[in-house]
Amino acid sequence: MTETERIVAVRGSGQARKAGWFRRLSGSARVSVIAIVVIAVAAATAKLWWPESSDQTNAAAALMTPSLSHPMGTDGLGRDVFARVLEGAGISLAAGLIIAVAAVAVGGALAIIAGLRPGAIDLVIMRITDSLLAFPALILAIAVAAGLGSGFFSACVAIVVSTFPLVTRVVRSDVLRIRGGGHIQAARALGVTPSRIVWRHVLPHVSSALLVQFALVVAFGIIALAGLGFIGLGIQLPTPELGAMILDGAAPLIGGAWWISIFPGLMLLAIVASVNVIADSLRVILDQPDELTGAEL
Amino acid sequence: MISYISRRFGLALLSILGASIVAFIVFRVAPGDPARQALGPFASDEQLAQFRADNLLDQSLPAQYWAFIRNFFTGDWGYSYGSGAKVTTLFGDTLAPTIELAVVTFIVTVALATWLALVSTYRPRRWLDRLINALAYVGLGAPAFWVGLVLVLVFSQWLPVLPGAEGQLDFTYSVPTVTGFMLVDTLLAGDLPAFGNAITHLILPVATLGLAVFAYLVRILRASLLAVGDQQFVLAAEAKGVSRWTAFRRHALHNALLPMLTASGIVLGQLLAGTVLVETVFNWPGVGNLLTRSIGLKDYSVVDVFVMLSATAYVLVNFIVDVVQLRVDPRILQEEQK
Amino acid sequence: MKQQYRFRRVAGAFLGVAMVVSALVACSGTSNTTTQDKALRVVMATAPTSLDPIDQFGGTDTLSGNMYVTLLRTGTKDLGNGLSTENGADVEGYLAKDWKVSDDGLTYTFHLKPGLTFASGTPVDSAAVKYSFERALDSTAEAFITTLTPGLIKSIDTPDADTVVFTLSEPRPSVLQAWASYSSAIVDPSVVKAKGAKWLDTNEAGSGPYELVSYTPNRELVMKERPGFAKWAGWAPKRQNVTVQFAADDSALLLAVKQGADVVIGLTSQSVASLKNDSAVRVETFESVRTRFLNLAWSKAPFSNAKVREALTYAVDLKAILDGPANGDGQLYYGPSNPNLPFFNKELATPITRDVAKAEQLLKDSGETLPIRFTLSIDQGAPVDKQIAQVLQSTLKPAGFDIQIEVLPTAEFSEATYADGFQAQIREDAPGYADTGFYLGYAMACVLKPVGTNASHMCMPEADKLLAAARATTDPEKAQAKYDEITRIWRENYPQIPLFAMSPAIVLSKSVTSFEYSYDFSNRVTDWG
Repeated sequence: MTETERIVAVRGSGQARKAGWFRRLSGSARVSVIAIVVIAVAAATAKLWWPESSDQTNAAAALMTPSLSHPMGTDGLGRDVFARVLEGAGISLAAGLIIAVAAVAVGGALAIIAGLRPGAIDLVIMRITDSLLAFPALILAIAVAAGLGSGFFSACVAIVVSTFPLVTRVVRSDVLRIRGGGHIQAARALGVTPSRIVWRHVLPHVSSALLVQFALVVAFGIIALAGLGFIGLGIQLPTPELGAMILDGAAPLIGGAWWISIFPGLMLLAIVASVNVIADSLRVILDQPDELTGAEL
Repeated sequence: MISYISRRFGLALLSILGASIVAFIVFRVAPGDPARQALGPFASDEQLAQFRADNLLDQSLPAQYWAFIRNFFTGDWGYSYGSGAKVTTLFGDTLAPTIELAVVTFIVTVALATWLALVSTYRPRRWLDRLINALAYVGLGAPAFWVGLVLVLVFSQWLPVLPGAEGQLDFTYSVPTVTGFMLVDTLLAGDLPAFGNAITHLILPVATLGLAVFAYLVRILRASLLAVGDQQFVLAAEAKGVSRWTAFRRHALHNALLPMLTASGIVLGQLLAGTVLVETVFNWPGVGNLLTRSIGLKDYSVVDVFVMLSATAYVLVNFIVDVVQLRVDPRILQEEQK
Repeated sequence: MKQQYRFRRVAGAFLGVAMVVSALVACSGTSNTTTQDKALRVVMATAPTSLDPIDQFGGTDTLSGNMYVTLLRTGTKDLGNGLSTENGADVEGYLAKDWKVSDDGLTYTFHLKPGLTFASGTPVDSAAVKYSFERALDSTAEAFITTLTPGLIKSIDTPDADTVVFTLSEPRPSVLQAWASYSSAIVDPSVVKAKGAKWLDTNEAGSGPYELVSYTPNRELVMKERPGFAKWAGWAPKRQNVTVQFAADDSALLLAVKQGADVVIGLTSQSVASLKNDSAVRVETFESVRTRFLNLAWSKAPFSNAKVREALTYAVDLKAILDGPANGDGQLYYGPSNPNLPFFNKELATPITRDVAKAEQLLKDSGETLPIRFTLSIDQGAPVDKQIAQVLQSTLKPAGFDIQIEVLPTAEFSEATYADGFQAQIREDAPGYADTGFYLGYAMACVLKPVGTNASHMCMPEADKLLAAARATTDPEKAQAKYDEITRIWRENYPQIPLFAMSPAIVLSKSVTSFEYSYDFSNRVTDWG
């Protein structure tokens, strides 16, 4: 099958089936999944196969250019940049997943509640969502993180707060569409319990939207975390967070030691670009147009 | 039509109000107060209490919120204790450079994205598609501040052709500030070499800020153009004997206009957020730089105003986009009425 | 067909724009000879929080010493090669052409040099001095003016326009240093009364060697020589025009160096290290009165236990910190005050030699559970502290200390400092002027009166008593003996760890032939050029 035929065959199927999902992804998306898995495994097992430590300072070995023993050079305190980048990648991936789970759970739950219970509750939830969407997402994340103080937990809360509103909006319109279909009224009339209604009638239909939003929040979350790290909010020392590493490397870069900032950024690019490729492929498979403009990406 | 517009406007106002509550809560609820930071180690307890009273920090939360709202909308933004200056002065000094950067970026990215989207969809070429896609993924995946550093490294250090993280103008130039927009001021002063210099100083920041925006826009535009291009009426128009270009222009372009319009509103938000990170890298004397500094100092007055301004601008721009969309595509009204 | 040409035309337009831009780049690369070339360009790391002399409490660069006069000035010590540094022990007349101290040390009579006026025409006379001092006594600068002794100034009398008489409540020889510091600036009473205090935050009402041309907070301050000053003083500042820019961080400062800024102040040691091979600039380090401390909170575990403090003192790898993050720019010592403050005794305040075995033994004897866990708080606004903290973390682990690093935004860090909200912290400290008595009067005081920072809340009552006596002693030898005893007591208690006395590096361009370094950020620009 050519790429176009495969896409045409897959489009409009509406829902991803559990079996064969990997084959349904586009070629580049499959590569991306593999890349992310490789990075995650490498980061998790780094202590087993890479001899250099990520937090042992060594003034004598400071600012060394990339070499065989230090493929990404050393930073201002003599620590191996490669080890730190690997550990940072693991942290970013883990954080991105946690944030996305929280955002999708909160956003999805609110959307379902708002969609199924019209009236006052819906109004309140929508007003809150609109108020949060009044801010550009990154600015809201910065404001909340600044308000809560530095730390991994505040950064995660801040990013969840800035991403769940869009999830709510997207999922709610799906829920409203389902309500219009009549299944729900019928089920209620038959006496099906609300939780069962949600589980059997609502969730399957919003799962596509949730899945795509999940991928998008992972991508945004990783970049936002790096951005917060760059401003100085977020994860604490000496934990190697990729954005904070880029910040630490900015002055050395002007002084000639470019590797301290460049490599963490490359790793971020690799991870986030891969997630975006996967998200795009999911969009195609699950028939989810761009939520803000309606364009079918 | 009027009722649609007034309803949207009402919703916009509600959003701004809600945003103000969020902004207020975020900063007042956190522990720690700025009195010590502002007055230093030798301030007595009475002096600290006086500071708190002056800044209403000892009043109840609703009272503080009311003062906050009232002051914001009457332009009474108070004093920044990080620098002793009036907050209005600080913003007055820093808004123009940020707006200049944002506007130039907007124009450049919209022009470039539109042109590339048109070129690649009108007569599809595999290599061009691949290139644009790759560029788009880089733009989406690379953090803006890192892109800035990379560009500085390549174009200012390895190949010393462009100014690096050096603000708006080489320090050897001295141009009187009239509007605050460096491009305008250099022209007003009749200083052409300075004008040229200002343009060179804009290149890397615009490229940095614009990459993510470009990525977003080019994808939306290509997708819209491609979707429309597939449809029957383009073939029908061709069958009628109208040229491919005319058919493309009349149907594809016109219908792709709508997503592009919506995207511009979103783009403003991206630009606002982007300036916060990019200005630090380039020592651009704008609002983003001001914000980053004020966050560490818990300079409430500055951060509050920034957050409120962003929200207000974002909501209003999107409202205007909504109204303009109405002109472009009246079908929206019908959708709403359903 | 036709449309391809259309697209190609647009491509051509883009190319054309690109070529124009490259032409602009090429042309604007060379610098212009404008009047800016003659101005001295200074770039600093910290921006003033206010231009009002009484609102400056150190830690940020001040420039008001250049725009205002004071009764007295500290002398300078020549270091050769066009370099000099402030000499805190030596005080000379400025607005006051001479002065007399009564035998009991309680009355100071200053005779002012007449003829100096403010920009408004008001004369800089005894009324202006009295007004400025009373204004300072009513503000947070009171601590500086009274050397941290409330009620020290019993009265200020002005028998005539050129004479001011201060009556003190107790003898205090160091008021001479205090009244030479920037908080004692003489302001224009007519302007302050008319415009109010807030106006002074961003404007200037002085009569010093420079006047303010323009000020953009956090960005730039431009000064030029004040007309009439040179005639009155008999000397003029070396450069007529000075532009001071404030840079947000290290990379901006490095760029300023590369662009040829004349004076760059505030680069971290590590960035300075990258300039060691740059032949276009001159890097000079100067001894200062600033020290970087590792403060240990006496009020809570684990450092309420003196043995734990002692163990930490012997376990810290000071050399690694000095050689690493500090790039060797500093000196080690172990005593209550910085080596460049008066009454420092080199023989007594020798640095501690690292002894990890002894530290481990002390920890065992302390009775605390091992490893000792504590949080080390640092200020987000001080990047070198991040590095020091990480070195501490990895070098203290083998001795039995488990450190958690906490980076706080500046406002929170200040709050934690003053509210005893930390277990250990890294903090730079220095007195506002070179007076050991003033410094120890707050840094060591059991009871802070009225205010000041004893961040560790250390308390050694014997030392406090000795200090009060030392400060009132007019005989320098007797005072030295008392300060020596204080040093012995201090060392026995292991109250805090001075990581190193700082020797900041200043980067000068090759065209700068003379530079004077002044303590604690006070930046006397008049001798730079």
